Formats: sequence, C-alpha cells, structure tokens
Amino acid sequence: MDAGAIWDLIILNPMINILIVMTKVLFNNLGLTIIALTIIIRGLTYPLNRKQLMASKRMQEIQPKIAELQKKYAKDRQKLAKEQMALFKEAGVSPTGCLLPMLTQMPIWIALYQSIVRVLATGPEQLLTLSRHLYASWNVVFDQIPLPSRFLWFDLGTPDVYMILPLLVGISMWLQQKMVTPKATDPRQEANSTLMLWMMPAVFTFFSLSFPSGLALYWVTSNIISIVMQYFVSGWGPLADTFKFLKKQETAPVKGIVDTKIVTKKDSPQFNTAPATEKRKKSWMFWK
Amino acid sequence: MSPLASRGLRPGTLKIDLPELVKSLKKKIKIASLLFLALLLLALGLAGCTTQQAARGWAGVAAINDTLILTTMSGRLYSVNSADNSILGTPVKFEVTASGGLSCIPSCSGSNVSPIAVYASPVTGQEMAIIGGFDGRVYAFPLLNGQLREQYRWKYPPDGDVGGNIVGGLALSGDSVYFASVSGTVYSVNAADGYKEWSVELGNKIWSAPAVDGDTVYIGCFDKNLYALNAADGAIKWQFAAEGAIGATPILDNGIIYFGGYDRAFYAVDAATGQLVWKFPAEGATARPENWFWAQPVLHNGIIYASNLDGKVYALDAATGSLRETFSFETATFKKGAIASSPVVVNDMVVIAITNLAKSVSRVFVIDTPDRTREIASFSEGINAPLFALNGKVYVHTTKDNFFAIDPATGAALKINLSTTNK
Repeated sequence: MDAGAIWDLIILNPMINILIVMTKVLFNNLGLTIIALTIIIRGLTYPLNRKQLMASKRMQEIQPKIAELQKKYAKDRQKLAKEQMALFKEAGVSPTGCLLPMLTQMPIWIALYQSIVRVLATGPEQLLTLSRHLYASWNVVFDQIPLPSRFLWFDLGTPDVYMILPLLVGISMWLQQKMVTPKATDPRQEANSTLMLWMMPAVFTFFSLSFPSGLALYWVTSNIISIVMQYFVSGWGPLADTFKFLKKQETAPVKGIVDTKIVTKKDSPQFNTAPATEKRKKSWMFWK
Repeated sequence: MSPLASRGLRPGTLKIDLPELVKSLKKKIKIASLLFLALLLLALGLAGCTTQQAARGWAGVAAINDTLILTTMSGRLYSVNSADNSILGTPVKFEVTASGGLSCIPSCSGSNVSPIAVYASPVTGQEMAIIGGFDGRVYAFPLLNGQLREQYRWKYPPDGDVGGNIVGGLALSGDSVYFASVSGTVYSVNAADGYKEWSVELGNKIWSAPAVDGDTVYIGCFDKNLYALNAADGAIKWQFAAEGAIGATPILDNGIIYFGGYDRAFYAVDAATGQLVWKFPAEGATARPENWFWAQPVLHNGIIYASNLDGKVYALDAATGSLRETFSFETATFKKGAIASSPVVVNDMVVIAITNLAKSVSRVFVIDTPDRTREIASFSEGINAPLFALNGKVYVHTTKDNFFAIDPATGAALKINLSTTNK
C-alpha cells in the first residue's frame, strides 16, 4: 500500500464520510457542516494549538525586554546574546516553539481542506474521484450525494460573485496575524513583520476570488476561531495598539508579574511567566 | 585579527560566538518560515489548479458514415478516416480566450487561451457535428465531405452561455437538438439554425444526456428524479422519484426506460406512465452494489448490462430485473477498478473498459458468452469516456488524451496518431 492509499484510508476517507453524514444531520446544509466540522477539529487539536498560542504569547511578552536588552548591550553583542538566551530560557520560550505544534496539526488541516474540496465535487473528475472515498456500508453517504451547495448568498462550489467572502477571509486573517505579530524592535524587523502581516491575507484573499466559496468559508471560520483562542490566551495583543478602543477592555497587568525593568543576571529574580492579568487567567480556566 | 578571532573563537579554547549563533538561528528560522509559507502557497496554488483547472473533458468518439469525429482535451476537433485512421483536413481549434475576473493572470497552463473541455460525446447528423462544451455553449460545426469546417455554423446561446457547464450529452432527433446544463435547465434548439425552441428548469444539476423516443424526452436529474418531457414544448409529462441522484443516461427499449442511480439501484420504468416495472436490488434486499451506477447501460439479447463504479457489471433480465450474472474483472495484477465508461456491443460481444481511478490504468474486457469474460487490452492510462463502436472496432479515448482502435476479436489495439504539431 503506497503512502497516498494509507493517507486516504486513515485520514481522508473518514473525514469525507463524516462530512457527508454531518451534512444530513445539520439540516442538509453543507455550509453549516463546514463551520461545525472546523469548530470540532479546532476543539480536538486544541491541546496542540494551546502550546503554539502560549509560545506565541510568551514571545510577545518578552519583546519589551528584548528591546531593552538590545538597547543596553548595543555595543556588546556577545553579552547581548548571552542575556537573550538567558531570557528565552527563563521565560520558557523556544524560538522554534511555535513550529512543532503547527506542523503536527498540518496533516489534519490538509485533510479537512482536501475533504471539503472533494465533497464539493465541482466537476465530473472530482465527482468520480469522490466515489472511491465513500464507505460502501454507509447507505446514507450514497443517498446524500450530491451535497446541496447553496449557503447564505453564495454557492459553495463556486467563487463568491459579490466578493464578500474573499474580503472576510482577508480581514479575519489580517486581524489574526496582527494579534500574534510582536511589536518590532528595529526598522528591519518592522519591515519583515509588516510584509508578513499583509502578505498572507492578501494572498488568501486573492485565492478566495477564484476558489470555491466552501474553502473561503472554512478559512473565515478557522480565522475567527484562531482570533477567539488567541484572545483568551493573550488578549488583543498588538491589535489593541491599532484599535485603541480595544485597550479599554484589557485590564492592567498584575504588579510584579511582567516587569519591564531590565535586570542583570546576578540580581535577577526568577522570571515569572504567569498569565498577565487575573481576567485572562479566569478566561484561560474557561478553556481548560 | 586571526581567522579564529574573527569568527569569535580564542586560540586554545572552544568558545561559541553567541551573537553570531543567535543571528544564524534567527536567519534559519526566517528562512524556514519563508520556506514554509512558500510551500503552503504552492500547495494552495496547486490545489487551485486542481480545483479550478481540472476540467479536461472525456468525450467519446462520434462518427458520420465512415468518418470519426474526435474531440481532444487539448482543444482540437479532428475528422479521421476510420478505414486507415488518417486525419482528414486540418484540425479545428476548439478553444476559449479567458476574459474578465482573474483573466489577467495566466492560467495554470501558462496561457489565457484554454481548450474547451468536452464531456459529452458529439452528435452527428444533417451534415453537422454538434458539440456541447463545458463552457456552457453548444457549437454546430458543418461537415463537408466528412471534414469538419473551421467555422461553426451556429452556437447556442449566440451570446454568453447557458448559465452552467454542459456535462451530459446531446440528443439529435428530427429537427431538434436536446441537451441540459449543470444549472438544471433542459433546452431544445433547432438543429438547422440553433434557435431556441423551449427550455425548462428542473430541480437540480443535470449531468445526464437526454434520451428521445417519439414525442418524449427522458432525462435524469441530480434531484433524484427521472423526467419525461414533451418534446414539443418541454412540459413535464411525468417524473419518477428514485432514491439517489441520477447521472447516467437512460436507454429505451420496447416501451421501458432503464437507468441506474447514485443510490446504487438500477431501475426499469414504464416509458408511457412513469410507473416502476422493476428495481435491482429489489426492495428489502440486503446486498447491493458497492458504488454508483455512473455509465449508460447496454441491452443485448434481452439482458441489461449495468456497469457500476464498484468495478462489476450486473447482468439483469430486462423483463424481470432478476440478476443473471455478476461479472467481476479483478485479476492478480489489476484490482480496485471502476467502470465509468459506457460499454458497447460489437458482434455479439459486450465490450467493457475498467479503470483503476487511483493509478489511472485500465483494462478492456469482452463478455462473449453469457458467463465468460476475456481481457483483450490493457493501457497505462485510464478510460472514462464512453466506448464507441464502428465497423466492428471499438474506439476508446483515454485520460492521457490518446485514441485507440481496438479489434475486440483479436485484442489488437492501434493508436490513432494525431500529429503533435497539430495537437
């Protein structure tokens, strides 16, 4: 059995069949099913996602300290690096900490993406391909095909002619990116951050203009879930700097927990990475 | 400064230059992130090509007298002499130039001019070859001494498209051409000039070709109904509700209409009244075929040969629907086949093409006695297009856009050479 067949057997086929059955359960509505399945899978991968979010949050929290270290040891690069490494260690931050959970989740996301593309079956080839992913013992999946593709104002199998969904993809992705993009400490880093902040939303918006709306719906849902999760982990983050009214909702940091004063190694207290606010701490418990 | 010192090392000690290390680490992370992003975008781009550009077509062969009409996936129409497989005249371009939307971006093939995919086998008659394109238009090309003329005589609609792709085939009967669009509308247009006679909107997508008998047009729909329409004005005479979508084209014989569905059932319905005559498997049966009835069935010597995407052919008694035989085509070297291609009957043999969809390889079999099958050809490409028979030969159009003429008696397969320059 080749790798493709194993992938189909273990991951893709179950997801496709579940997607079809869920459509029947959810009032024969594929749009609702895409939203529901995205939420369920985000829930199931939450433990992995949490690690990623926490790493991102810690990285954000130590940005002011890094900036101060860079300022303080501008002429002593060796000392700067040493202090930065110590800071990373004490804060429990690994520069590659975000990557591993993200890579672990990738197969699930690819499978969800593929299964949405498969069940939409926009052309004859796709429908023929779909036929070999169905469980012969599940009568319901055969009765359900083809799935109804109308949802709200758009057809899930074709791009949104009103371009509302592509815009929502871009906006939601920008908001989510903005929440996790640490404030740049030097101009070059700022240029990179700005590029990353705008490039992904722009590219996905562009794709959404020509992809089936079902995929755009999945991206919007996924982005909104990411925004919500990120909010409960680290608040609005840098987004609050852009939209000042969001700052009012954030409570002041608990005294002594995240101190922006730079201390040297010898007189440094143990770095505390506890949640920044009591309010967030409660929110965090909610997610647990 | 010594070379070691310049790299942050002191002679006699192994000391790591931390700033360099951090800088290098940051650089690597940045490169890895950009690589990851690039891969993600590439994957999405490829998926875009897969989802948006995958419509390549799989039209079967048509013929007028002894001339074959071939429709390629590369956007060319050929007239071929069936006696020696020589190309008659110049291939006709069957392409469309993208406009509007994202047409400023070259397509995945690198050009704004793209071939019009054709899934419906052309129909011929009145010195014309009529072709339904995936672009939502029907084109009628004149034939002069068997050769296709470069300029179409008419297209329908004259401007724009019908509001959906054309996937199912066409039917030419009398002075009218009948066809349906994916948007669920059935059309009748005048074969001579392409003027619309009538159209009727049904409940869902239509991927089935119409079957015409006298004054009635029969067509299956994804709304799980088979419709009988008045050929004169499109009025619905009756509709028969199956339990699954109907994508296969029905056949008619002796007042009975036969068709299979995506509910894995095969139906015989009275063509006059729309009443069920029999159903396979019968109500209450526990065992049923494992996949959809996708292809058009064939009738031979009172037996319906209903091919299924589970790779089997169910031989059913046309009068009663009882199962006479189940033909399976698995061999030691060929497994998990699906029959998407409609079979044909040639010289008392039922010819079947079966494809492994995952590997895109295929085999051609014949059923030459009531219970015996024989493999006659194998291809390293799939066959989804309907088979076509002419003068004792079977013509196949493969997924790699090649055409073969097969002698079912000997199994000899001859590739029809369409010159690369013209193709």
